[in-house]
Amino acid sequence: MKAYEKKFFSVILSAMILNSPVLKQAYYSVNLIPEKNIVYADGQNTDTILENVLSEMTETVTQPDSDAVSCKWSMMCLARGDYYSTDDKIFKDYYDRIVETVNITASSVNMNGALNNLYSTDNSGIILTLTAIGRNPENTGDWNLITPYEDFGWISQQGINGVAFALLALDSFDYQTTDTTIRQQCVDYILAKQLDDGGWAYDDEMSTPDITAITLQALSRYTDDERVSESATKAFDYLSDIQLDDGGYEAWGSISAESIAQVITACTAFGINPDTDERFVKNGNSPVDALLGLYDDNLKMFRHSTGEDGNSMTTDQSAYALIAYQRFLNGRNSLYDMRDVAQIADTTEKTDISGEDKIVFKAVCLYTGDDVDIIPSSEMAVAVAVSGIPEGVALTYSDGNYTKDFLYSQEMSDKAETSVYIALVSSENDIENFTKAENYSVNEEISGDTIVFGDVNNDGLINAQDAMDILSIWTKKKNITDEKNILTLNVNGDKRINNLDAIGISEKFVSGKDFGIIEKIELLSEENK
Amino acid sequence: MISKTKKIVCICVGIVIIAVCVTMFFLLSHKDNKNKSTVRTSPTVTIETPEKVDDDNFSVDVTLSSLGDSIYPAVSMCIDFDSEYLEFQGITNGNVKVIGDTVPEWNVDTGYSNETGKINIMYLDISGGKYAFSDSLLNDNDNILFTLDFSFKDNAQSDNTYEFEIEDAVFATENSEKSLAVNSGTLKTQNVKFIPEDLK
Repeated sequence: MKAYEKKFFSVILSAMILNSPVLKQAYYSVNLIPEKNIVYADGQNTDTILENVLSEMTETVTQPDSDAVSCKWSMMCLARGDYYSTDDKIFKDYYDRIVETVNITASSVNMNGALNNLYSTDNSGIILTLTAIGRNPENTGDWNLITPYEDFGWISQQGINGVAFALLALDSFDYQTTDTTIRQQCVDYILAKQLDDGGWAYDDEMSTPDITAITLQALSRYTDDERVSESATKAFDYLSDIQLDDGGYEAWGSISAESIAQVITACTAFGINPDTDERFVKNGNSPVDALLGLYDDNLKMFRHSTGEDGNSMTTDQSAYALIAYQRFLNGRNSLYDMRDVAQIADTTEKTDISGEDKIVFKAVCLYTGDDVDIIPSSEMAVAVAVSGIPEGVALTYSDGNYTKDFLYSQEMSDKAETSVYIALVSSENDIENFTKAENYSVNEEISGDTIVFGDVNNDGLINAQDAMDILSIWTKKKNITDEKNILTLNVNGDKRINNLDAIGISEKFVSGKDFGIIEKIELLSEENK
Repeated sequence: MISKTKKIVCICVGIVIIAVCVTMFFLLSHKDNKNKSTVRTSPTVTIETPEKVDDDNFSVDVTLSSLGDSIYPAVSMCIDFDSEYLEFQGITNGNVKVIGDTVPEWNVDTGYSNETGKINIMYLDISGGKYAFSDSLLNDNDNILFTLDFSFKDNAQSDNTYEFEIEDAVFATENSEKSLAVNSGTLKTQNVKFIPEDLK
C-alpha cells in the first residue's frame, strides 16, 4: 500500500472510531487513550454501573454477619433503586433485624425512641431506610422513632448535619411532630448557619461541598420560602465556584467521591441536571463524569479518591447519587421524597402476655460452659417451658437490657408435653428473669426458628456424618461460634462438646436413646413450682 | 533372489502378524486382570442373597464394592426388614478390616431393631481416623462389612417374599463433601428380596 493510501485509510478509520460507540469502547479498552466514562443522553452507562453496584451490594448486605445499622444506606439504595420491591424477603429479613436492634438500643438509651442521646442522625438514617423499604418508623418494634424529634435541642446538638438529616427524615414521608414548629426551627437554624461564601460547614468556619450539598437537599422542599430560594442560589453558586476542572470536588485536600455524590444528589433534588447544567460542567466534565471515573469495575464499588481501593461507605453514597440522577432523568420523585413508596401494612399481632394472661413460664439452666471445649463460661443454655401459646410460634425474650430469640424444640416439647424453647444466653442473667411473662413477646403470626439436637449438618437425618462432624469439631479441625450450632452439638447437655456427644449420637441412632439434653427437661418439672 | 514386490509383501505380513500378537497379548492380560477389579464400580453397598444356616435361621451378608479416596472413620446404615415374620438375632463381623488391621466393632441394638423393624448399625472411630475404613483395604475377597443373622418367627411361611432394604447409609469423612451417602447420591445400594423354601 502506498503512503498516501495509508494516510487516507487512517483518517477514515479515526473518523469511524470517533463516531462509533462500539468502536470507541473497543478503542478505549486497549488503553490507546485514557478512558473517559461516557454518559449518554439516556444515562445508559450509569444504569449498567448502578446495576452492577446494587448486585454486589446485595451480596454484602445478605451476609449473616452483616450489621443491620451499618448496611442501612445500602438497603436504602436497593429500595430506591428499585432493585427489589418493598415486599421482597430481603427487606423483610432486614426489617426483623432492625427491629431487634432498635428494641435493644432504644431501651438502652431510654430517651423516647432516640437511638443515640447525642446524634440524631442515628434515628434519621434508620427512618430514611425504613421509609424506603415501606416500613413505618413510628411503629418499629416497641418504639416510635419520630417521637424524639419533638425536642429541637436533641436534633441540633449534632450541628448542621443533624438538623439537615432531621428535615430529610421527617419530610421523607411527611411524618408529623406534635410540636408543629419543629420543621421551621430546622429551616431557620440552617439559614442562620450559612456562611458568607454561600456554603455550610461542619465547624461553622470552613464551607465544604459535602455539608453544603446535604443541607441543600434538606432545603429542597422549602423553596416557597423566599429566604430558602435565595440561600439555595448562593449555595449552588458556591458549589459551582469550587468545582474542579475534571468535574469533581475535593474535601480536605483530595478528590472525594462522597463530595461529588452529595452534589449530584443536591442538584437533582432541585431539578438541576448535574451532567448538563452549565454551572456544573467544567472543561466538558460534569460531576457525573467525575463520579464514574472513580468506579472500580472489578470490585463493582466506588473509590473514595483516585488510586484508592473500593470503599463501602463511598459506594453507598455514590450509588444513591446515581439513583437520584436516574430518578431525575426519569421524572420520578427525588431520592429522599419517599411519598411514592408503597407502605407495608403491619399485620403483626403481638400477644399481650403480661398481667392477667394465663401464660405460664418455667425456666431452667441446662448447663453453663466452662471454657474447656468451645462453650464459654459466659454462656448458659436455658430451657423455657411455656403453656398457653400455640405450638412453635416465635418467642422473644427482652427485659430492657438483654434480648434473645428462643429456639423451639419439638423433642423437648414432646417430652415435657408443653411447648419448650431453648437459647444460649449470657450467664450473667438471673434465671428468675426467664420466668417472667412481661419479659417475653410472642408473635403468633410466624413460626419460631427450630432446633433438632444432633442434626449437625441440618440434613434432616441423624447419622454417622453428624457424629463425624462432632469429632472433627472436638479435634479442632472445625470451628463453630454460632449459638444454634453449639446447642445442636451438645447433645449430652453437659458443659462441653466432645467425643461423648459423638457417642451420644451413636446411641441415639442405634438404640433410639434420648439425648442427655432431652432428659434434662425433667428438671423443668422440679424448678419454679 | 527375492523380488522387490515379494519383499514388500513379506514385510506387510510380518507387521500384521506382530500387530495381531500384540493385540492378543493385551486382550489376554486384560482378561486375567479383570478379576483384580482394576475397573472400580461406584461405591455400592449390597445386601447379598440370604444363605440358609438351618431350618430356622439364615444369614445375610452386607458387602461393599469400593470407597472413594478418603478415609472414613464413621459409618452408619439403616436396613429395613419385616419384623412381623423375622427376628433379628444380631451381627457377625465381616472380613473388611479398618486401618490398623483391626476388625471394626459395629454398634447395633437387636431389641430396638426388632421393635422398629429397622436395623440401625453404626461404626465410630473415636480417634477420628486411626481406625478408619479405606478403599485400600477392600478387595473382591474381603468385602463383607458384616453379616446379619435372622431367624424365622413361627408365623413365617414358605413362598412369602421377604425384603431387606437399605433405607440410609453413609460413610462419613472429616470433609463432608467427600463423604459417601445414599441421600447425596454418592453411595449406591442394592437391596434383596427372597422367598424361603421348606419352612415348617
